[in-house]
Amino acid sequence: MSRPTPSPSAGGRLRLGLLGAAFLAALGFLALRLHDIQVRDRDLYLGTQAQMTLRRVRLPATRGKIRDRNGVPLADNAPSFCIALYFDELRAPGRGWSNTVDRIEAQIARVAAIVGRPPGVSRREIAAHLRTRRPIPMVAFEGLDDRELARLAEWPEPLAGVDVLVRQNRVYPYGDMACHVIGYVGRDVNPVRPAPPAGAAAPDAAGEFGPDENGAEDFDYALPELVGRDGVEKAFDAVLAGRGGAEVLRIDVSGYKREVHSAGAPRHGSDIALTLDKDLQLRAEEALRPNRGAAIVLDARNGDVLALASAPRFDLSTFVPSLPGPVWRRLLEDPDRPLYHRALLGTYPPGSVVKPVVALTALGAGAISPFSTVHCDGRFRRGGIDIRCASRWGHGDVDVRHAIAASCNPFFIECGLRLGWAPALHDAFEALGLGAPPRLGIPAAAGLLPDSQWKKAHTRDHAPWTAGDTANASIGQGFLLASPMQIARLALALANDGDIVEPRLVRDPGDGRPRTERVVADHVFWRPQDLELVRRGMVDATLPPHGTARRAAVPGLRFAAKTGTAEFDVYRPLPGTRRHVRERHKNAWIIAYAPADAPRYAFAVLAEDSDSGGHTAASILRTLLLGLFPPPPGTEIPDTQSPDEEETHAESAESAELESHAESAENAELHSHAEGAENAEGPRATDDDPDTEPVSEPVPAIELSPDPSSP
Amino acid sequence: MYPPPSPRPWWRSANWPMVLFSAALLVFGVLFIRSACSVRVGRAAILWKQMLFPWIPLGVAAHLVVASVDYRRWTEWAWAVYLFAVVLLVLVLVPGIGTRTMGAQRWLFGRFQPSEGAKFALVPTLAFVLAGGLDLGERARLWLCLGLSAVPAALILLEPDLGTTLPFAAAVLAMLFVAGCARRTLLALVLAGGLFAAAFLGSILLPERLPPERRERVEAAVSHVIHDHWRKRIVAFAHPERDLQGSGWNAWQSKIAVGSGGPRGKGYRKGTQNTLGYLPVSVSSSDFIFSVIAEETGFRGAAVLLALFAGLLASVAATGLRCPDETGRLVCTGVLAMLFTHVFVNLAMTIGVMPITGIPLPLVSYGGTFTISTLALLGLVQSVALHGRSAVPHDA
Repeated sequence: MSRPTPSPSAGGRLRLGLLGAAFLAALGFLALRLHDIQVRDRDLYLGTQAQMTLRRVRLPATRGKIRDRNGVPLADNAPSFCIALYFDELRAPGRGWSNTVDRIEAQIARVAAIVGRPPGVSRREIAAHLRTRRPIPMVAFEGLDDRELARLAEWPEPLAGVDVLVRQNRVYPYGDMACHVIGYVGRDVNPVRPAPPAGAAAPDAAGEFGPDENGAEDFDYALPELVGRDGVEKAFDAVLAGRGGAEVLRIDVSGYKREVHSAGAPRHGSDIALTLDKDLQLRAEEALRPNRGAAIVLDARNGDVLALASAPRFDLSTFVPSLPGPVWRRLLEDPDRPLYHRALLGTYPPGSVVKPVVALTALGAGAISPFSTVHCDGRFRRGGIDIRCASRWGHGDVDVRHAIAASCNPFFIECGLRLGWAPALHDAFEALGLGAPPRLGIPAAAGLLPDSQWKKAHTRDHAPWTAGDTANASIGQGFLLASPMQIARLALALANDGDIVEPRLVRDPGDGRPRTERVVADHVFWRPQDLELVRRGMVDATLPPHGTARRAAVPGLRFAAKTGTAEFDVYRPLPGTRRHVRERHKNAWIIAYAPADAPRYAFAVLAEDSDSGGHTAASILRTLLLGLFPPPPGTEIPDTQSPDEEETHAESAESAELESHAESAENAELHSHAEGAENAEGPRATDDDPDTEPVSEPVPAIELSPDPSSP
Repeated sequence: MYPPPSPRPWWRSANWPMVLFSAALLVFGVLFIRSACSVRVGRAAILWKQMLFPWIPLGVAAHLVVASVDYRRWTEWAWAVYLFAVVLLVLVLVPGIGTRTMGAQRWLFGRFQPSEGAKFALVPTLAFVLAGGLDLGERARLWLCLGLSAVPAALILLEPDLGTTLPFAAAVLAMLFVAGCARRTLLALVLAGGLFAAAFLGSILLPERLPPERRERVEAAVSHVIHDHWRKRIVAFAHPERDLQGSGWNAWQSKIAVGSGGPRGKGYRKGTQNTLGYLPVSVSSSDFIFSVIAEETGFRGAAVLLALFAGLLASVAATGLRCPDETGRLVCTGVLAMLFTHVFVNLAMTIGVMPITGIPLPLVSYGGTFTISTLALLGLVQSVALHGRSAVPHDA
């Protein structure tokens, strides 16, 4: 070892040592800084980097199917083949993006030549996609057929950045069948959905790429997804849609995709099973033709909705993949309003189909006895009330059974007046679900069950409830409004001896457990002997020669039925004047259950703007019954459809002449509707209302069918 | 003339730790140049191979040649090297001879940087003057030293290359300090440097606070003296949030790279900042090689690298401390100061402690002339180690 040299050298050593120590200390300072950045602040920089380089892409899940009760798909999925371009493989050097756009455009043109289609996207769209959605593929051609796919697959040269992508499209195999129930879908890039039902929302363990700590999922890009827009598709959208998966892309500094990480596969949507029976549904829809109206068949034992037909309808297949604008406009402007779900959302005066309930209530309350008779001379006149009966010459002395079979107005008006509207009749109707929407899972109208308060609030002069109103309500006229489904529910209660069974439209709401049990929501107490009496009356109604529902008769089947013909006025503005003309219209109803002694099915049929319940509605019911209870082979099926002069005459007069109703209706001021003022002279005419929304608010007059006389 | 060779064999006198630290740093460098270039295509993808051949062999050869010659001979003939280097520095500024890239004229014959030669020339020259090689008074010696370092520094500033002048300034200050220059003088020099830096920064940052009409005038005046890219770098450092997409980009992305590496790093060739191009490929293998290392090896690897540099500096200092004569000590001091400045400034800018000044990391960054000059400078130290010992018995 060297020995220390004399002073200058020693001073130099010391200074060099100091310098070296200072340098090492400086490096130590850097090490501390480095520790701060890399160890203490690591997450900050990692987060910044993730924000800069990671893009979450939402992958759509396959939508669940909608099936009928036997598993037949009513809404299905079908693959649609698309050609997509991956821009990261097509980038071209150069300032700006124009070289890349050129290259992509050229590639699309090339693909177009190969598959034999014009290019599906414009230069502007390419540039926009490049600017805003660079890391994800751009779909240039959609819905390729086998030939086009084959041409692309057999192309000998490699096509950079071109790939086939499969999308799911919705398919409605039965066209317009049950279209209002099924609903339809649209495509949406960023659907807003309510949270999925509890229990289904266990977050995926996706680690770095999972949802953020708030549970919110922020997607930078979402691929278009099917979203329910109407009917079951809309009401059960969250179940059908499933849960979108996610993909995390790492992008490079130019914004192109570099790596793909999966962050949770899509959870496919669950299938929904309806209680509808496809064959019965088709039969019901066929039977309705060519009327506007509704036909409902319920399983009388558990309330399953087996057929829920509404007419007219629209073709669901035109909604896929997207509805052309002109078609949509035509549907909206069609005077027959095919988008309108009459079976659930249409509300109509129920007419005579409520009479069995009036009879049962009167019997139960002791207002009449099974032997009470009322003399009918074709008209009911008392006080200010003057209401015509179905039979112009009168039914003579009628008892309950006869009154139901013949639909005698004076008898039930007498019952109603003896009972009084509130609470007796009102509460009986309320218990049967009038004025409350059926809980089917898809929107349904509540109809209108008026009371004195309602009348006060909705009439121009705040008129009190009158005996005339009670008389009208006793025969299902006046302010009373109900949807066909509510009337079917009433038939179901009659078939179940007063058990209120809630109709069920959805057999399996997506959890794989079919609902088949009978759910009794409530019970209306009707005495068995009264029920038997009313049932006999309703059976009599189906029997020739005088039963009002005899045209529904099917050989070998004993069933109970009640017809109804509700009249209503439409006040139509006279062109060029401020005057309105009154037009009288009739809606034909029939309710039934069969067989009469052990009910298996309950029915409600409505034909808008037709002649009478005994004609149009009964023959629709008959078609349904023939399908469900086919007569033994060899039985001659009598042709009950031929017009019968004498009976027709009597039938057509079944409806009530509603003097007092007309009066009240003219007084009705439509507070609930802003546009009511335009129609202040009379009941609201909704035929000028192109809206397809449900009429869920009470409307005092009549469900107005589209005007038959307009072109 | 010189003391006779020591009886000890050369391999016992050599500074082996310095060799080992250098070798380790070179290996680090080649590995991560490879990583940094892995996303590049064509010639740029094989920069690491160019390091393996020819740059490292050439550097090692230079090291051996320099080390085999007695450092005292180098200092005596340093004036010739110095003159040659200055001529080259002048030549590089001549249009048509120097190669112009990225707004500066720094290269001769396409790939040779004369500023690196000047580094090698300056250290022995100053050592010769300060150790009393010329019969001059204290003051004359001081001014001569300042002048000798100012000439190459000024020429380099003209290129313009602000960063490369820093090692020159550091070397001359350190050597003056170790040579025992009066403390007052040193203090004055440091103050002068500080004032210069303050004027420099102030003329860039202060005009922003002036009212707009005066600000424009002042900025126009300043722009005659200060290059626009310096101004941008200083502003980007003072206000990093202002323009992360533009002039602040490299510094910000480098910091993200270092920070996101975390304690353990992302793995060799898995640094996303580099592979995804956020760290510009044009600098990731040279000035920002430490960002790549820090991202891929994390704090562990970065600390190892820092330790290697500390070891290298310590081994250089050790040779200087052991050296019996002032010339050798001063040579070691100059090399030490130059190396330290490179390491400190480079790492500090990478982790956002200093503004971006484009100077590379010795032995690790990619660079032909730079690798050769660094190894040659270390060769001077080796020469001191090999030949300095023999002086001990002679003096005694």
